[in-house]
Amino acid sequence: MSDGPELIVCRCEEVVVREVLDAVRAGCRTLQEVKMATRAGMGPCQGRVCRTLLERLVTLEAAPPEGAAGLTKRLPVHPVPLGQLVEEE
Amino acid sequence: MSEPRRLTLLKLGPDAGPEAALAAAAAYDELEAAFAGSVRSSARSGRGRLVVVGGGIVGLMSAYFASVRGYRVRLVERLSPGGAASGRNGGGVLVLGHTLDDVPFNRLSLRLWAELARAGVASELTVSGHVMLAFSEQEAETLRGAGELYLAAGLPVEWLDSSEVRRLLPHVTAEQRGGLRCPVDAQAYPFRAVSSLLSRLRDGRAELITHTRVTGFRVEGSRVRAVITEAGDVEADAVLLCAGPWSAEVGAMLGLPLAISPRRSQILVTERVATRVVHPFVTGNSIYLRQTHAGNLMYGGGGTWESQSFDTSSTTTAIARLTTRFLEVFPAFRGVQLIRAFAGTVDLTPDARPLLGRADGWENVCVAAGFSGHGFGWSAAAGAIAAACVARALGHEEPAAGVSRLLEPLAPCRHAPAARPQVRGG
Amino acid sequence: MRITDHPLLPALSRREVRFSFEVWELVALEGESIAAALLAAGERVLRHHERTGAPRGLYCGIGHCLECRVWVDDVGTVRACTTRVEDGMSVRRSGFGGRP
Repeated sequence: MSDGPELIVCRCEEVVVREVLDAVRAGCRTLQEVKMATRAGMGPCQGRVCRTLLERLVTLEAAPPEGAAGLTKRLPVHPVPLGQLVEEE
Repeated sequence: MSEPRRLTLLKLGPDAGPEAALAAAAAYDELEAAFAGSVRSSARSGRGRLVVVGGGIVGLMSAYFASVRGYRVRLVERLSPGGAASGRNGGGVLVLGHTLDDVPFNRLSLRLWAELARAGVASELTVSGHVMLAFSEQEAETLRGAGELYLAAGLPVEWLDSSEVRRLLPHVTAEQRGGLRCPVDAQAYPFRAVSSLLSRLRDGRAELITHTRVTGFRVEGSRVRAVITEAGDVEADAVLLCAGPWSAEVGAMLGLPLAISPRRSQILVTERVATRVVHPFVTGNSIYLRQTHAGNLMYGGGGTWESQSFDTSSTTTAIARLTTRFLEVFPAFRGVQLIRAFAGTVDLTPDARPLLGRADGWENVCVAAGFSGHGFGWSAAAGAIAAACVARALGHEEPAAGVSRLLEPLAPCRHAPAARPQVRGG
Repeated sequence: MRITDHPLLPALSRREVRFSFEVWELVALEGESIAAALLAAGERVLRHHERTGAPRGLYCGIGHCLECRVWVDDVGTVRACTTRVEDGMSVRRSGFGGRP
């Protein structure tokens, strides 16, 4: 069982606390910037599991600017096979 | 398949001909002579404070090349660096498909992207090649003709018949009629490219001022003396505007009519797919698509049907349309799952050619914007050329006559001659 | 491990349903999710992480985290925790995700 810096934050992309903190130390100030630097939040669950913990880590460590957006929520609300998305005939 | 196929990413006009192709080959030789090796510090040209407005891939590349030249660079970005179109594009670094006028610049860009990779700017750059597919005999004929011109322009391309396409793309539809392949086109991972450039810049090459809005300029006659931001003034010997679709707004602060307008372009991403099922970048059937280094498939395609605004929401119409087109190319992928839909804002110009050069009426203002949906691929060349424009504006370097001639059609204010500059700021 | 006596949920049907997981022929109770059936059969590893290869399985159990995704032949990727076992189903570890 890992804890501390090797604790998994984003299960989908297997991003650990240490990587998030490294990204912040390298200059990332918002969740979106941390995501771009680490891939956290980019996997199949699209941040559903890691968003809260990421928000907490980034808020504590990076002091994001006021009004900075969090991870954006986009369609689809859960994965959908492509065949179900085609235009109606 | 109800609609006619469309080669929307083949920009060659009907008036493109052998003479223009040869001119394009010669143009590349000029650009290569002037800009190859821009990554090395032997490109030093002078000293001075450059302020780059805009932290997208073009601003970041420009900051990088300017720092190599020895300028003290400060970059001001309104929100997150690389957070707009630079993080929401297809990742193509392509030459095939461009007009003959743009071919030499994009060949240069491809070369500089590779130089950057060798210099340690990681971007997952992969020279995977690019295939543009035909879905009718007419499209096949169009592509074969285009292939002749691209070859004469110095771009290696080859025609693949449908069985050769099938060997390259095992899951492709049986309805394809062959394709034009360019083996030197590449693809990269936008987030990684941005992160890597940021890390290089932060390592003593530039000062990055992010989450800070530019509100005006302090000027003296026809020189800009400082960029005014929410966080104070940033002194400048030269200014470079790289604000993508926001360039018109920033230009207006200097009385510059930059003819740039926004348009949305949507992209869809699937779950990771087990194996490498698509190796090259693929275009055709009105879409572009690739498989990322991580294994996800991504596909997209904009057009005049899209919202001419800064709106970046995804629409069910586009999801249905783009997915239908994607599955027409790869019917075998109908069981693969879509995990995300997103969009970015493209910066369009009236002639779909960028604004790249010095701004009219100002001695020390340059512009690099308006890449009309091809900014990511263009960015390395744009950055190197923009840095050279800055050097010229500061009187440190005169570009070769041939290069100046090639840049004339890209003059930033060509669409609307600037009236006497009126300045907002101070 | 199978919950047969729950304070709120109705008892599971006793009717058996046969399915395969990887190379094994297994038995589930009608109405069970794939994840529950596999747990009952002692199988916790439902996939391996696409990049690291680390063994993964049931996590949230409510269809939210997508950790439990498995491949069902002729169907595709499904969440094991929200998908009922059907007679004759062929389930495999999804490994690297979709297999066209």
